[in-house]
Amino acid sequence: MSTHPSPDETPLAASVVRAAGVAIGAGQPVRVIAGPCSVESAEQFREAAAAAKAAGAALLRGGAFKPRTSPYSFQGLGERGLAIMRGVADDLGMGVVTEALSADDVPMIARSADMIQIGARNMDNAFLLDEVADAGKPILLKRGMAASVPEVLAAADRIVARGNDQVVICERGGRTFEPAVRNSLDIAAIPEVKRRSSYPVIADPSHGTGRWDLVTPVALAAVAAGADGLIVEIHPDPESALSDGAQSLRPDRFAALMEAVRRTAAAVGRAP
Amino acid sequence: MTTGAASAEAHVAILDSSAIQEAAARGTPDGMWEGSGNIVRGDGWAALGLGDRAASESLERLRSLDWVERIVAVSTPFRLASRALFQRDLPVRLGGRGTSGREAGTAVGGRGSVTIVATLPARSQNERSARRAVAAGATVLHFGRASSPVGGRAPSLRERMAGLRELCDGVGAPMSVAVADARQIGDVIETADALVVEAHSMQDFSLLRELGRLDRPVVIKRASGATVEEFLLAAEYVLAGGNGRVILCDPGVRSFDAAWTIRFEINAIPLLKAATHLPVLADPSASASHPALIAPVSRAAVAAGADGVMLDLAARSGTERGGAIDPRALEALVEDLRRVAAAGGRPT
Repeated sequence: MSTHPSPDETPLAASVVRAAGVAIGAGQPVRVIAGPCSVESAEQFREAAAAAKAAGAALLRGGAFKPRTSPYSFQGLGERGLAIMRGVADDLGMGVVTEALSADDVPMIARSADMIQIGARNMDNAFLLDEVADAGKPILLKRGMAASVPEVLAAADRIVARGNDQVVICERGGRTFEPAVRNSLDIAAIPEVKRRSSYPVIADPSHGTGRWDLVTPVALAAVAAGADGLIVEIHPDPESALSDGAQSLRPDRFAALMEAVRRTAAAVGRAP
Repeated sequence: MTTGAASAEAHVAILDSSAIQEAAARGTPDGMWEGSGNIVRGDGWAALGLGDRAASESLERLRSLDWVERIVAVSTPFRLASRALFQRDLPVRLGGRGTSGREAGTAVGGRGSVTIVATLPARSQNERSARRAVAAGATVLHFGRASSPVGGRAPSLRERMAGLRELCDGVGAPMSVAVADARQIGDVIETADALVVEAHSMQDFSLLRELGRLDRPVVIKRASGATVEEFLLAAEYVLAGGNGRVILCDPGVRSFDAAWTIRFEINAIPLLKAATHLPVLADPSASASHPALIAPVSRAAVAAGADGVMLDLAARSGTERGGAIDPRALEALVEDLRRVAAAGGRPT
């Protein structure tokens, strides 16, 4: 494992990242990115996005290219999904974050998205990191499931060294021996990234737990630990979701989460 | 909890805790029903485990008794610890038994105010550091294994306990002490307000059985290799013995990350709170590789629903390292934790 340089040796990284006019990072309010795991249809995405906006989300999320464990699972709507997201986001006047799985797709995704996500499974995909860095969009970099904090910082530094300083790091948990959850969010990684670098850090309590009933308490924990934002999966009808239904919040529960986030943010001296 | 070995449905009778005392006075012996265990007594509650083979006629007969409030079916492997018994959080009272009368005791859990257990370092177990910890907001003082009176050197364990008791009475705080072996219980039971089972002893079942016979709160720390369910089953050993005053404390679990061999598992806090009525504390000191991580992880644990934290105090300001918090930083942290708890609808 490489040793990460001390904070004053890490040049260039921005402590505030701007996506579609939304500032994420030091001194900014807690920003919540919300939307469905996958874009399944225009109606489904529109309904989820409207719920996200109504509850106070700052940005939308949605998957068009899905990294699924099994090749037989729903793989996403691809380019059609991007078009749906862009159209809905424009109608609502919001920005949208989506994942790039392949370097070949990056130019197309960069035309539709306001922020490009590198998923946990691709944190070490150096060529994809380079391609996304060059696309000139802000980047949401998820920590790999088995990556240490210095390793995710090294991946972020690779993007910054390439000339793109707009990188937000996302803690989304990894595998432990606990059978009750899909993943286990590493809460200490939030202050550890802040201690070692100036990157904005957000948390993904949806993947970090894998269970909708744990999403709100773990989201509040992340805010209390100093996270600059959250990324939360919501679905108008989680039971019929084509992916991640078990960890997706219904719109009413998401609205309650947002209310609780505002209270906790205020308690730790942060604008909600 | 939805995982783990499938368990046959068991029944637990929730008893009227005041009526049961009268029944006990009339000579109702524990274990009087076939297959039932001991009556477990907590603070303000009592229950009787009926096993998993209770006949429906026996359940009907029990239900008709005036000191039986209700009978609950439990399908998790842990029974007396199960949330199915009580939807509300039950508090565990600590202390209030000091000889000076200055130590009024404190309630842990039960959606009361945040509990702050401070572990005093071995080298500064004096009145000044104890007073400082209490002034900063510590509600319980803990004497851990490293600083523990255990070790056989003079003065004897019993004598050192008397000294610590005097120290805690002087500053008006309840005290807890680590027990690593069932044979130490006799030396600490007179003086300690709570007995703490350290993580490495979580599955010392003979120790847990002995603690189950006591009328004294027991804090159990999760072993670094234990699942949430195994943790709750360790608590169940103490409860099944009749001692209902059990507090859970989670230091986190083993991880493969070289930077932190113990990872604080935030998900475990809401998992535990959903699974049990017992108080749940977090121990962010065990996993903290740097002192800067203690406060954020403590705030996170309380935001996720923990009833309080158990923290190592540094001997003095400027000497903190790893998981020990600067005594000066404790006061600010306690304020933060009260605000976070209040944001979650709990009293400050």
